[in-house]
Amino acid sequence: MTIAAPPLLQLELPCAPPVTTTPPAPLRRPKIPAVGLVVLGVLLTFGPIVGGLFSRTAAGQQMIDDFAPHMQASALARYDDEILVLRHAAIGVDTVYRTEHVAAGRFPGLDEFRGESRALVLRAAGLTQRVQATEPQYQQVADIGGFNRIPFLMVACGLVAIYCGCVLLVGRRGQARSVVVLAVLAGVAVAVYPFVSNLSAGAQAGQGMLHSLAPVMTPHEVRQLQSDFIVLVNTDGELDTTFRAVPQPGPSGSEISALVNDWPKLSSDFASLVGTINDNIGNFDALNGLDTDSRDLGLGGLGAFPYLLVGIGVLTAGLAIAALPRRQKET
Amino acid sequence: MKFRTGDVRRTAGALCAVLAVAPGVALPAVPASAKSAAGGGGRELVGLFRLTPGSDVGAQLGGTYFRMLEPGASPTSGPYMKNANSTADGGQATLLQPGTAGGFRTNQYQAQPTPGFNPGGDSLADSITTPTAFFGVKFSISTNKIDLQTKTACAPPIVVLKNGKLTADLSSWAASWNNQNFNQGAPKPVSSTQAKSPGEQQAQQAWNFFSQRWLGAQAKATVSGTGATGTYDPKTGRFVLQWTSLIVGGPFNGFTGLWHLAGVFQPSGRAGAGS
Repeated sequence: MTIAAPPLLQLELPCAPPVTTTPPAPLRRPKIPAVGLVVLGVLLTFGPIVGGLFSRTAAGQQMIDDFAPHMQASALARYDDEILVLRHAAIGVDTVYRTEHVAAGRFPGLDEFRGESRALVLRAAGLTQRVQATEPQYQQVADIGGFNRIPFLMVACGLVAIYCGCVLLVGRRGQARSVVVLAVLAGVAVAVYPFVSNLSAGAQAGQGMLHSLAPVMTPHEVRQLQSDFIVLVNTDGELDTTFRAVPQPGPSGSEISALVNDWPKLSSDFASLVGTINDNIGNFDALNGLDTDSRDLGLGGLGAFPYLLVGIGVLTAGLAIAALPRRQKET
Repeated sequence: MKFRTGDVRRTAGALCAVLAVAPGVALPAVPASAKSAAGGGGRELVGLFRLTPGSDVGAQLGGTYFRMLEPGASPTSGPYMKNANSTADGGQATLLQPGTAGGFRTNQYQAQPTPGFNPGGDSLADSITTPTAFFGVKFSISTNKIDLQTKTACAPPIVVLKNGKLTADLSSWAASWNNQNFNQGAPKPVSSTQAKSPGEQQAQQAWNFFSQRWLGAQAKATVSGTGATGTYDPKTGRFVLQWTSLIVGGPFNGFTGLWHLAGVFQPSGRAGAGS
């Protein structure tokens, strides 16, 4: 038996409206910030090289390291004692000359010392006072962490900025976010560096240190100190040998003996300080050049370095974020 | 925000490359190893140059002695600095006595001991010469592989006999006095103490290796100027060596040392390398 099913009725359904989806707004690559990022990157990469920042910061670091033994509290205190010994010895020699009627020409070295002792002691005292006065600023500069690595930081940030700028301009869109993050990180690293490295305080102190040491960091000053040193070695030579034949009673004798006894230490300190000054004239000039050149460029000198780095960091991060591709707004 | 592993890897790689290359970017090429100036033929005298003590007889200086010139003075006529501790030539010369080794050895270093000075600043180097008073503090001589003042690698003393004349590379010759070291060699080592950026030295070494090995570049000379000169009598072994050496850097920058060595050469019978 079969059951015949009635035929299905043909339904007449209304046509469904077409499904329409709004096409996404096209991604826009902001070109100006990306180009700015590339330009900034080029400046950061080549600026330190062309401007000699590598050699100048290295010179500054070497100068700081070389002066370290002379900036210790014990050394500074010793310099004061030694100036006092020199001053008293000069008085002692004068007194013995007078009381013992020592004829001029008998001790040529001491004759010269007597003629120059006042100016010589003043110069030596002036030098030590200058070094002592510079010590607080020196310590702040010495506390800057990785001063000679600043150019590397700038160049690294510059290369990252170039890379990111190029990717944002012509690279795959999928890379955009990661390179922007990279650029922001590089910018943040540069901007934060002055605060974590003590550069913010040390740079101002460095400017003061340069100003304070400028009068002694010259070849002329070194020649004067060498000349004074020769007077002193001749003085000690005669005091320790031929002048012993002259009676040196009372306090004058003690003052002269003090110089002879302290001579090895005194001359070592003097020679070491003069040697450090001489060997760092070039380093000083390099660091000072960095200060004056950056001032000439309107960057405010060494003291403005922290602000410059913060500015560079913020600009790098800002340009990178601004260059991130985004969809155009519907009108 | 999504990160793709590949992107992160690429950007990290780029950053590493920057950091690896950056130290070398601004750096000039640098010197290589020490190079002897006493070449060009002749017979090398290897052994002990035993020093004769300095003497001052009848206003005639003899043996081994030293003079010091202030900047601008003439090596032949002075004026010489007067060492108050010396009576030779009115103090204008300082007579030297041989040290524990009797003199200086070629092809070997007689390095400064450690410590180099006593608390009074007197030099403790006593192998070549006996420490001698100079302005109240004793100075002496050593020869060092790395020069103590210039920090440059120096050849050990080399003396070459050619046509009866001596030429010598004494670039490692160093005087020590009052906690200070002064290179007094001839030829003079080129100073290696200039300021360097972090990584600069390593980058320079790598570049030197590369340029010399694959680009055929010559190693830069680490010395300048001429060596010591002198005479030698093969029959008696008597020798005289003399030279002047400008002090470069330090407290006596611009001063000059004049060295006069005399004595008898004792060959060692071997030609070993520097120790």
